[in-house]
Amino acid sequence: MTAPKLHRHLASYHKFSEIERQQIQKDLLKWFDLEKRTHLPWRKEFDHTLDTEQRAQRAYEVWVSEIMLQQTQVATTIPYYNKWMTSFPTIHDLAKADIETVNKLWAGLGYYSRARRLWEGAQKICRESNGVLPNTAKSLEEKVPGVGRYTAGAIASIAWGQQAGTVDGNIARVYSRLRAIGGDPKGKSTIELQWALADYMVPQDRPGDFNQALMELGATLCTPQKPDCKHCPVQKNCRALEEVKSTQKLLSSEKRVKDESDDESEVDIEECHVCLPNDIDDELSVTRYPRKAVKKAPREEECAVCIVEKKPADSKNPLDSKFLLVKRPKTGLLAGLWEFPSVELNETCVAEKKSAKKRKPSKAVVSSDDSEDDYVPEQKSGSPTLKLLAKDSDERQAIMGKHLMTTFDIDLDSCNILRRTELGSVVHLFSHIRKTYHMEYLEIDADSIDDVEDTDQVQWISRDELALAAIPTGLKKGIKLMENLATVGAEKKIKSTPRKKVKIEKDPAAGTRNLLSFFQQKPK
Amino acid sequence: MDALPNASDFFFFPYSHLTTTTTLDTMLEARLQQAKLLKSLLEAIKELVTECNFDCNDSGIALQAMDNSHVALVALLLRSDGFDPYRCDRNLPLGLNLTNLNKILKCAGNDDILTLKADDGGDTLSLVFESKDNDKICEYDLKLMDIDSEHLGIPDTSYDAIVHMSSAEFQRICRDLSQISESVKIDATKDGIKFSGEGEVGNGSITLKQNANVDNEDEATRIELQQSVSLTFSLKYLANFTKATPLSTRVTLSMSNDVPLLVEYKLDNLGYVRYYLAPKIGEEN
Repeated sequence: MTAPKLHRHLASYHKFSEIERQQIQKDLLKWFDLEKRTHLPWRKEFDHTLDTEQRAQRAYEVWVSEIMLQQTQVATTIPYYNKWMTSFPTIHDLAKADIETVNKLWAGLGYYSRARRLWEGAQKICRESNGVLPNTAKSLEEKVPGVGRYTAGAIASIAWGQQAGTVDGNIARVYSRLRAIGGDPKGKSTIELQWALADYMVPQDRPGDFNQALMELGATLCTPQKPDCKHCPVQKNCRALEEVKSTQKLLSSEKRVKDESDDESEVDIEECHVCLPNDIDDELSVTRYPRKAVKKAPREEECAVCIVEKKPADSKNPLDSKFLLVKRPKTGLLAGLWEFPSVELNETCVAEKKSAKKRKPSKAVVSSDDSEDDYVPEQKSGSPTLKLLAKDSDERQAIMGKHLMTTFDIDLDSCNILRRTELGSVVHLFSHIRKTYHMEYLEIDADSIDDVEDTDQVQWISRDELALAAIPTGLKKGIKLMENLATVGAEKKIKSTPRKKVKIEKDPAAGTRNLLSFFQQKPK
Repeated sequence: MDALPNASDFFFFPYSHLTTTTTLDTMLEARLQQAKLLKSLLEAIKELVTECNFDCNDSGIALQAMDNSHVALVALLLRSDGFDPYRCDRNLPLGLNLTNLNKILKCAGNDDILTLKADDGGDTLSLVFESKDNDKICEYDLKLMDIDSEHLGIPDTSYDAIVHMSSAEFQRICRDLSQISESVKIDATKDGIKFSGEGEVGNGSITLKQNANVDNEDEATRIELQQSVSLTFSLKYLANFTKATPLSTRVTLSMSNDVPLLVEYKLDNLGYVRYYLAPKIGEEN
């Protein structure tokens, strides 16, 4: 069944009347009191008797939970939240912690900058206002790093009992359906409309519960797919459902119920400019709201990674080995996490391409300023669209050798290489990037390179610590590949680089997470 | 036949002292009515673990070990009351090579009475198999080894979905999906549990509906659900776990998103075999 084209309609179609407002508030809160999920550790009943200090503690709890819940499922969040609250029961404990501990507790949740911002926020709040988070949405958003409009509204309403509306993904969906908002979900006008609705709808009494009820409705009944309209407490005020019902009636009776030209004749009333024209093959269902966002294909990126192991040549014990880890920059993707030395292979600027074109094809050309990012290997002249810096393992190894030399002072020509081999390529999907890690494994005689003191940016760590370090999931796959290699070819050392990629699918454990990231080792 | 004299009328049976008397320096003595149980248990874990400690104490025999890749863990418990008699004076870890133990257990008949014995400070585990009719006794000693065991603390988890189902059905599903896929996605909802796999040749799925198969409780699928879950696991490991199928007609799968799966086979009144398997790395981040 195909829905007819979205009719033109008035802007008031997306508004609530005062009667509807009160009805929805009443119905939704009643439903929430009966049906709310009670196993969520951060959910506590709003208590009018709390003093400022207790309320500030609630604000901290709500803040942590809301930040964790961004982009993360509830079920995933619960154990992390509990772990976090045990380690940092108050905002002061968090402020006093070091970033390593914070990142370690976060490892596995993704979007690591969230952890850092929580930590920075806690420090700022402890410094500036003795650990008490601001109590209005506006000042929360302004003063606390990492707190956006949504989180600010949630903390203000849930912890401080302020009459502040808020819009997260769930709430946006609920309002889109209640008021049949057919605009681009990422569009400014759609978002502003949803916020305007949220601010209008939130009641003075129990604002936090009302906002949570909306989220709960979106999470349990008004779900993206297969919403459960039959059990919805506000179904009688839902425009999306109304449209479905009236269209069904219209299609079955083959009669036009209403002529829309009547509305259009009223020129002095504002017409809706938010909604987009309807899709032809739009399904007749409430799920047509909100509109699907046009998804961009993830960006392709490649990266050369080298697991460097320094090993005393005379030692057979694998525990004597040390691995080189570097800290990622404080901003950007996977900020502040540890990783193996790696070089992005996609960074070619336009100017660089041009100059490379002028040069004769040669192996491994070093650009004039000699920084490792501009290092360009063999390029065919007349191929301006060439993006990758390295096409095969030889070129990647050359780039990596250079990188190790300039960044870590490890000169591969002078030190004793026990083994250097390709581990294969691993693809890791981030929400917006499809990243291919080309992994290689380099084993160096520990006596042939200088001992360097560990810094907070570069460390040599043991095999045991490697399992526990805050390393992004994508690179943990590399550790797995290396361990496989160690068990397969422990005796025979591979001299030449195998050209074939390691087929990782063949190992049944490949792609499975390490149990040690769930279960803690007991002290003996 | 009845008229023929019994062999013991003529011969002194030299091994009877092994089964009946217990010398004072014996630390552990555990007697199982059916060797079959231990034989099946070994079959159920030997693919996953090659060497590990059997931790014996007065409450029973326990084992916990991870596989080499550190993605799966097996935990085994045999309670003392499943043995008759059972005696273990103090904590005693028995480090064993499971391949070798299995070789010896193969020598036992399914219905043999099996006795495990270890001496204080001894370096062997004695296994005695007595035939049901008490007309044959085999004694084997297996050398013990020193194993540095790593014990993991497994947190108490309240799982979002607990599925009780036929163990044979679970084995069948793992075997069937292994034909086409290397991993299986398990979706548990209030209606049922769905296993699906995808491979180069195509894809497949098996859905078991939550049913009230009152006539045949062994076959019924029951789901206790707090919240729907969807998780992906390596089939090779799951298929390995199903080696425990002969131990119990029922299996329990306990799941929450993003935590290891628990697969449990209960041994009637005697204990359990539990397997934990870490989920596959999702596409989050």
